[in-house]
Amino acid sequence: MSLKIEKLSKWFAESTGPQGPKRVLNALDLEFKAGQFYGLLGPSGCGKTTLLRIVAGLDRANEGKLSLDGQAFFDAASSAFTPPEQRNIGMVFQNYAVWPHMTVFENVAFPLRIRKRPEDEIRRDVNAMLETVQLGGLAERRPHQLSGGQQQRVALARALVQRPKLLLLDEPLSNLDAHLRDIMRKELRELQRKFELTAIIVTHDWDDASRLCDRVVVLRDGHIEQDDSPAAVFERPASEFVRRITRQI
Amino acid sequence: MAISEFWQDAIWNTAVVALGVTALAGLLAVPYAWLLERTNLPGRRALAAMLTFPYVLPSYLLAIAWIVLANPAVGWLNLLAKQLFGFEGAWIDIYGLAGIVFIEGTALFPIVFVSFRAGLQRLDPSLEDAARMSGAGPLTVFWRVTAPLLKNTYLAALIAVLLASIASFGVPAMIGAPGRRYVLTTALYSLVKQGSEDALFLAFEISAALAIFAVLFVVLSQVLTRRKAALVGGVTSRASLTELGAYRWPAACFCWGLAALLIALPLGALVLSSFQVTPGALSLETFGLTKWVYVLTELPGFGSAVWVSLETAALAALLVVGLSLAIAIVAWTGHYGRRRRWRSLARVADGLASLAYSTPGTVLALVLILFWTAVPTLSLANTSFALVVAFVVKYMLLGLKTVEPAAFLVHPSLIEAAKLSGAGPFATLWRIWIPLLRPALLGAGLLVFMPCLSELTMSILLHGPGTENLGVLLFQLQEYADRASAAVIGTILLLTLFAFNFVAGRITREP
Ligand SMILES: Nc1ncnc2c1ncn2[C@@H]1O[C@H](COP(=O)(O)OP(=O)(O)OP(=O)(O)O)[C@@H](O)[C@H]1O
Ligand SMILES: [Mg+2]
Repeated sequence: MSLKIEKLSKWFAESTGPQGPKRVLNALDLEFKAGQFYGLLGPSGCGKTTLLRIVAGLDRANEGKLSLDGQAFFDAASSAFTPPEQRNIGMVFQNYAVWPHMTVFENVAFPLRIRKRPEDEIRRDVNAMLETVQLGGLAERRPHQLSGGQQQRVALARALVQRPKLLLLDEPLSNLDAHLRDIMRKELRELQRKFELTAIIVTHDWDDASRLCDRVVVLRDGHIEQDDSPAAVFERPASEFVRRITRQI
Repeated sequence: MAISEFWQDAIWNTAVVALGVTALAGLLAVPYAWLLERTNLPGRRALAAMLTFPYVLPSYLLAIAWIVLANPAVGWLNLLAKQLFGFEGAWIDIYGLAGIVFIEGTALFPIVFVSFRAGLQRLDPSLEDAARMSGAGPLTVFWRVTAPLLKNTYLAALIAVLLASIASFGVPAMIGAPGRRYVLTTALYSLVKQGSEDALFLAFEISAALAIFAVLFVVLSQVLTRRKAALVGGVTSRASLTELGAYRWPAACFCWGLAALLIALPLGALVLSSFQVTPGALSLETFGLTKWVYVLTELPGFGSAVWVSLETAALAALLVVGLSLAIAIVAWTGHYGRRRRWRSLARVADGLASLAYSTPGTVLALVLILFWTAVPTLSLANTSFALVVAFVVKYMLLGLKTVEPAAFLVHPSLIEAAKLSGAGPFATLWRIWIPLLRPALLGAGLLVFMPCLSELTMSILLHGPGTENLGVLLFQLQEYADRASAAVIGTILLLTLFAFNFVAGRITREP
């Protein structure tokens, strides 16, 4: 599924300065093509999370338009807005957001229960998904009995079980140690191929972006600094700012 | 002991009132908290301030206000109904169990509202966002994620309301007693007023039963909230607000309208009625300053009541703050230092304080009276210190709950640095502890001062000749049908508490 962003702007009423509100996103134009893995890169506070939340429908932009496969989900001009629960977008949160009052199985089954799938189908799909993310034996565990990496897989399974065409990942790797990080990168890449997903991952880390992604979008203060393949960004950085990010300095 | 019909009725009425009040407060609080915390309802902050205000008021103020509005003979709403619609007889009658439930429910609603709202603020919003992304609409998210996660917080708040409604005295005394509808506290009061030794012992037995009940519920509520810590993850993002869309303005009208009816209307009526010179027909000529002048210059006992209220509330607040500071430092030393046993000592103090806080004031007062009857040498009966002792026992918990957490934030190195600079224990207390904890100490003092200033439940049993405080004076005026003077004193209390509440808000917001 391809995602198109046109002239998207966002500001928060709270952070109004003397010359009007400060724009967190400034007239962004972006296109995310179907089946590609995108990396959203930039320093803290540049608006990555805000952009992801707007795509998800958890926040609203002040200006601009958002469409998935040509169908508008959000249009400030006509104030059209599809609520997040109707967008069928999978999202993995930075702190995983695994529900502590449900078992692993129930966490992953939730999207299917909401869609009122028959019980045997739920059982089959959830178990298959838990196998895919290698949590087969842990279905009846509670989240507090899981390690950080395992919780992350639960969050991933929960996002994927509803078969979204678009997957959003907000710094999913930043809380993991180096070894686990490497494993998760490979798994993410495999899952993305397997389910033919369009995926957008937010990260601080050039290694994540370059190893996972087909394309890298570098954000700075709400505008796009560069949008290219990892190799191109590395070899021909558009600015000193981008060069510093790719050299991790 | 065979229980007479009188007591059976009292027990039954208490149960009805307690359950009714808890249900009313619990049902109102959830939608209000959710709408104010999770949607784009207009005027959320002002509404929240208005809804939490009754928390600092003694509930009997609402009772006298509703008597003004809805007593069957000359209640303003009834008079209006007669004048406007030619309604004959009483349109609404506030007296009776339903009236008690209604008034007490509004008065105790803030307990549930505040704690559920705080729960929503603490809850990591990404848990709810994740449910939205899984395809659940706002209401499904509430039922499947928010509500189960806040269940224990909610139940604990309901228990607090249940206990408070069982313990309440002012409202049932003013609204129930005229129609001979007694609950346990008012029945106990009437028994004690008879004054015989037998009556006192019967009262004590019933009190003991009430106290055991309170203990059970305190334990239950502690069990319920113990696991809360696990839920309080770091809040990483702000909650996304559900857009109410077409429901925004209807919802706003309903929320504001109901709040106005439950809070602004009675409090406005209370203030207005203090200017009403002659009860009866509603017209401009019946209003004037006569009663204010009378109360401030002539009313016997008014000056003394003001003095007693200020004196006892200030003394109680000082004592609570001092004791809390001492216990907090003991707990701190036990926690950070090597004296582990001190920590348990402080825990015992905490436990006793929460026990006293949840025991009905009527029971506490009776225990003190009995103690003083048994050991006359220690008796404080008929002095204003009787009130101070009762206040300190009852409200110790409010001090501990404010000062102890603040003390635990003090890093050991701060105290060690003081010691290394040559400060002795007294200098450390005076130069380090007190300045560091100043906002908490001030906050605790105000938190205790406010309910003591208008206390009625214990004071009505413990006061002697000349030690009537404002609550007792107001109650007596209400009983002897000088309602206008009672309304003047009520208004004075209302304005004073409003001012103190404002100051307290300022102090506690300070970092
Ligand atoms: N609800 C809000 N109200 C006001 N300002 C906000 C709000 N949410 C975000 N901002 C501001 O918008 C800017 C972008 O925030 P955002 O969370 O998108 O950054 P980010 O790129 O995800 O940063 P990080 O890498 O630290 O997660 C920041 O300056 C932040 O302060
Ligand atoms: Mg972010």
